[in-house]
Amino acid sequence: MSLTSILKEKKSDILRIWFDAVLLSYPQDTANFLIKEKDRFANPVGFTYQHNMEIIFDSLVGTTDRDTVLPAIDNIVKIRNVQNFAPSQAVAIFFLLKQVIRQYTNEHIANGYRDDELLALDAKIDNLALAAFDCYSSLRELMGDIRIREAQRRIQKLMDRTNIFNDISDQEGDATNERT
Amino acid sequence: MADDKKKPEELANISYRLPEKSWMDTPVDFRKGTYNYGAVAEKAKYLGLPHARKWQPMDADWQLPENWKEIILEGMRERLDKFRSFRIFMDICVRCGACADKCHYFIGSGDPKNMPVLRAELLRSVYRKDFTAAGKIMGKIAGARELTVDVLKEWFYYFFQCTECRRCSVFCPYGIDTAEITMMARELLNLVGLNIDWIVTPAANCFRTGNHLGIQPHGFKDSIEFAVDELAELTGAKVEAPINKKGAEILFVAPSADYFASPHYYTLLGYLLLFHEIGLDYTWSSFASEGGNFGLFHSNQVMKRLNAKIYMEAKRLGVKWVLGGECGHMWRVLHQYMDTMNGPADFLEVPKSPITGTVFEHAKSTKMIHIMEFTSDLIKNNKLKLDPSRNDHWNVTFHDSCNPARAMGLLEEPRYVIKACCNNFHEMPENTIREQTFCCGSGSGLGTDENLEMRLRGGFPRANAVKYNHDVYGTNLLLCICAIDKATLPPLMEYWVPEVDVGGIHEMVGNALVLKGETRRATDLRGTPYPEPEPAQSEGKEVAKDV
Repeated sequence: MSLTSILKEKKSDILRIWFDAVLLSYPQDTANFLIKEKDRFANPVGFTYQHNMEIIFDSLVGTTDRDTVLPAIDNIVKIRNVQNFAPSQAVAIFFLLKQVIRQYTNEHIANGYRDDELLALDAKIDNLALAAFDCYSSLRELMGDIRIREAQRRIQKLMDRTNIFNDISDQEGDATNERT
Repeated sequence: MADDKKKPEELANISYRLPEKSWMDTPVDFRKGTYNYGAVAEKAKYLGLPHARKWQPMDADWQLPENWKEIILEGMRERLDKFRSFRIFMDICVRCGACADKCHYFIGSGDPKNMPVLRAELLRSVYRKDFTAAGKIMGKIAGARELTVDVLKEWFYYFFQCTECRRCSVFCPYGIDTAEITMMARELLNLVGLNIDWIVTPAANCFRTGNHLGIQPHGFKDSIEFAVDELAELTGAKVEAPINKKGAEILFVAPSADYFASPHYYTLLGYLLLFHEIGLDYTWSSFASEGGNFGLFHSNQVMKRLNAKIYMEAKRLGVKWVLGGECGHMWRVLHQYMDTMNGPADFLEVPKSPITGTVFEHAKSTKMIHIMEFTSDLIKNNKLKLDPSRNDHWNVTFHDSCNPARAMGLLEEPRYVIKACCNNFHEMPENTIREQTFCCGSGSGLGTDENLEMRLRGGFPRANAVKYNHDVYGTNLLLCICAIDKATLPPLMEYWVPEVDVGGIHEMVGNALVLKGETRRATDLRGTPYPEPEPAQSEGKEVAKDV
């Protein structure tokens, strides 16, 4: 049996173990809540994890395209980016998949699969983690931009009124006239 | 934590499991982005606050007064005697957990100390130790603990992580109002000079000039006149905006952000157009130029001092009653506290709409109503000609701001007005609106840029519901009637749902309002051109029947 077939067949088991592993990064009370509360609006973090982890997992067995999997990674990293995690902890949950899959297949699958399959899977997981790192970096940049724009909005109309910033668009007509 | 330096070989050996420790033994980590800066000493001194000094939460030494512990415990004793609700809330919680998963900060952060029950327990544990027999004798077994500097730091961290939104209170079988517990904790912290700058500086500015940026009367006048000029350009209407007009019928007080911040400003344009169209005899005041009351987030004393300006100006100008703009916590202060703090306003009359004749009996005592009540009454009585197609470029949803909605029951009026002014309106899911509305995550003075990471955690449940509406209905505008929301929801949307913008309801009113004899509008109030062909404007419909 190929590794891909195993992953497809045991998807729900592996996803459950992966989610349990992710929950270890939260305090016990929080983990209980994240797993028990099923309403997606009452428990947006738990829902976002489970919904998007499935999409990400599907990408490993080749049924998800890149345009679908990248937003799924982004949705999860967005949460971990603002929670109390170091950058490494924020993206580490993707590497967890390697441990989870090895552990599961060692315990439950009698017939081995080929090593090259495992290597290929590892490479896919590494790519997911690298994409997560990109997401994390761009989100940090976004937060910097958000802080600047928020500060501007707070006094936007005061600036407009006092004409503090006389930007290029205000002078475009003049500049054009000068050239012509 | 983010600042930990790991050796390369350690990076591959990440422990995913958190250390198991009792909450009492887990000190606060002041991670950058998750707390607010301390109050600037000069501003605290201006308000005459005790122990004003230069300090910051990330400092190891907070330079507390020598007898800080005595001050806090005495302050607690005083408040337990003075406020019966405080003593009851300290005693009656049975830790049933109904509130535990209702706080937006807990839901978004996953930090158990953001469970309202545990946040309150930070205070209760000290209460038990010093004010109950069981706690004095049995100590930790009875859930009691000593007040230490670490505990004080924990109070500061977590009580400035509660937005006083009261969502948890909706679910508490005993009706414990956690917002009031936070208020008490903040009052105690004030006694030893611990507060945040985004509360103390706006409060000091409001006290000095009447608004939170410290804009002086001539600057206020310039701002309003600038808006009047811009309205003439946008709509052709020659609007009057009287300031300090003695003998006007109504004093209008709006949050100051309406005249200097975006997107608040478009709401201001909406008010001005509306008052112009109905010929309202009203006035602004350059001294009561702030509806918001940052004192609510500080202490009952500061709240009272700031709020007093509204009645004082109403008296000075000789108006009959007071109308408030789109503001959230202003509404709570005026509806819940103003009458007893600075009333009775026996020099004012019960608010009566000069246009419809409606008497607002519920405001018989405070003499002040919210503009959503005023405008919905106008629409109900067919006094406005509205063309909702002029808002067709917006697909809107409505965020119930905590204070007007959950605290004060202003639920139907905003929806009534939105439906009259917009053709595309979709509610967010039931357990995220009305009494169960999720906070913006930045209320009660926490909307600072240094606190952005925490705000994005706390605002996630709200943003998650907006995202759902965006995905399902194509929502592109989030309406609200609170100045703090208008300031803090845009960054929240930028992070979680960048396709959605934020606006006020009176911006929608201003767009839809068909003025007598108006020329066709080329743009909406934001200056965005209407698509060709322009919507038919001369046939504005009488909407009251359709709402």
